Amino acid sequence: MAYDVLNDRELIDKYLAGETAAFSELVKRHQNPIYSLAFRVVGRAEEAEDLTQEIFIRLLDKVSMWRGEAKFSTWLYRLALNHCRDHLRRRRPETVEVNESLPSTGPDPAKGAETREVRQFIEAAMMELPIDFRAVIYLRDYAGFSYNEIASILEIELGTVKSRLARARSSLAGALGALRGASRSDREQIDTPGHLRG
Amino acid sequence: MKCKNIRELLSTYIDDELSQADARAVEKHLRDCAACAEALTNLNQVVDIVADIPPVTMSEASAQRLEAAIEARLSPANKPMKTEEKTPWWKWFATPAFGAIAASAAVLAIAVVLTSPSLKTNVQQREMLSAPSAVEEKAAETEMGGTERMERSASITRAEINLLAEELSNQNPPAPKSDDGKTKNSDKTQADPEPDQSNQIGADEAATIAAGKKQIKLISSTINTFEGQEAWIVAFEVRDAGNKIRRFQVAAVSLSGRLLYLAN
Ligand SMILES: [Zn+2]
Repeated sequence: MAYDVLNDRELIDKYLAGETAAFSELVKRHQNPIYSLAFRVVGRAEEAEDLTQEIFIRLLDKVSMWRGEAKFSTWLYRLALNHCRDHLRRRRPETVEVNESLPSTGPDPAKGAETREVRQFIEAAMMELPIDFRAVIYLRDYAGFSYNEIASILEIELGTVKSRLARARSSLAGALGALRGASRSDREQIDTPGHLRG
Repeated sequence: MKCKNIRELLSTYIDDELSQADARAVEKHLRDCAACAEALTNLNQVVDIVADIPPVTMSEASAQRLEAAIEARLSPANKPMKTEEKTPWWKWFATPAFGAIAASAAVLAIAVVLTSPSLKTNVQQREMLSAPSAVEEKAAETEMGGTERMERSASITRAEINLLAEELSNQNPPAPKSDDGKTKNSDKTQADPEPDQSNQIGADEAATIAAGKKQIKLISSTINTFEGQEAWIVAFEVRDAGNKIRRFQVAAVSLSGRLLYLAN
């Protein structure tokens, strides 16, 4: 059975009818987006891996609850984000050293070192945002979800999606401006944006 | 509109999600206001940078652990226990993902544990070993509704793990020695040919188990908080070479598969 040609709905129906291999295909298809989401939310590769595993194990029991009113990926992101949020709530408070935990993405020949530095700075600045702002900018600008989908994933109003996204982006734009201003004036210490915290 | 109002619309403008009237107002303003035009440029840069963040992917090892955990859960052996076991469950311990495998365990032994009068109250009060089906149902009710998800993990202590192991062994005494032709010393309570080695497994032996070299069968698992972290509490049988049950053991294993504690 070539499961890879089936869509999510068909895979889930087959799984619920007892074809367990269909679920494995579902996992393969979504594991990297979910891992990526978990990584961007918690900021640590090892934790993101554990979370990804937990999320799919939970999915085994919960997938029958997906009724198809939202896209499966939207629904799965919601499940995953709720799980990540619970995890962060339980995590012992400690300083997140973002720069150390970001995995090396390897050389990027297409881009100069300066661009990479800016990007890493923005990644770090994203980790400084509160989770709700971090999630919304991730879902929109990185994962490419629509406003409606984001509203559904985060279970918030459309207006809240717009305002959170606007604040998150302008916070990062402010940080970027500060970085550029700093490099112009050759300052050493850059602060990531703090005004959205708390 | 004032600059302040325009700034608030720029993010939505970038995504083309403004009403036509608002979009026109923004465009009109941008033609005359260099400051807002620069703000738009900056926002666009942020959007581009975030979109350009390279994707992260799971490591190969991690993807394998995930696959093993899912496969184990999907395995027919995970169905309620029959009288004969077809799948050698202990083989699962040959994979590096001890925790993942723990996740795969059937939960039948919980029923056994719950029948024990001495543990029953304790278990029920503390939800120490809440039956996963009931817990998951409750979580399912609330989670998608956006309300607080029920906390899945109650805490468990070393003493309780020891107690569980003891209870399990008391309720399920090792099968009497089969009549293999030899007469054992019937006056000794322990007629075990190698009692010291086989009756207790220490950290070294746990590693052996993890390597799949000892015949054991996983009979129960649940997630609890153990010493500040979430852990699988797993119960399993330890068998000898003749496939006879030696004893029952209970261990706490971290979600990433590290052995945290073994009942003594
Ligand atoms: Zn203006």
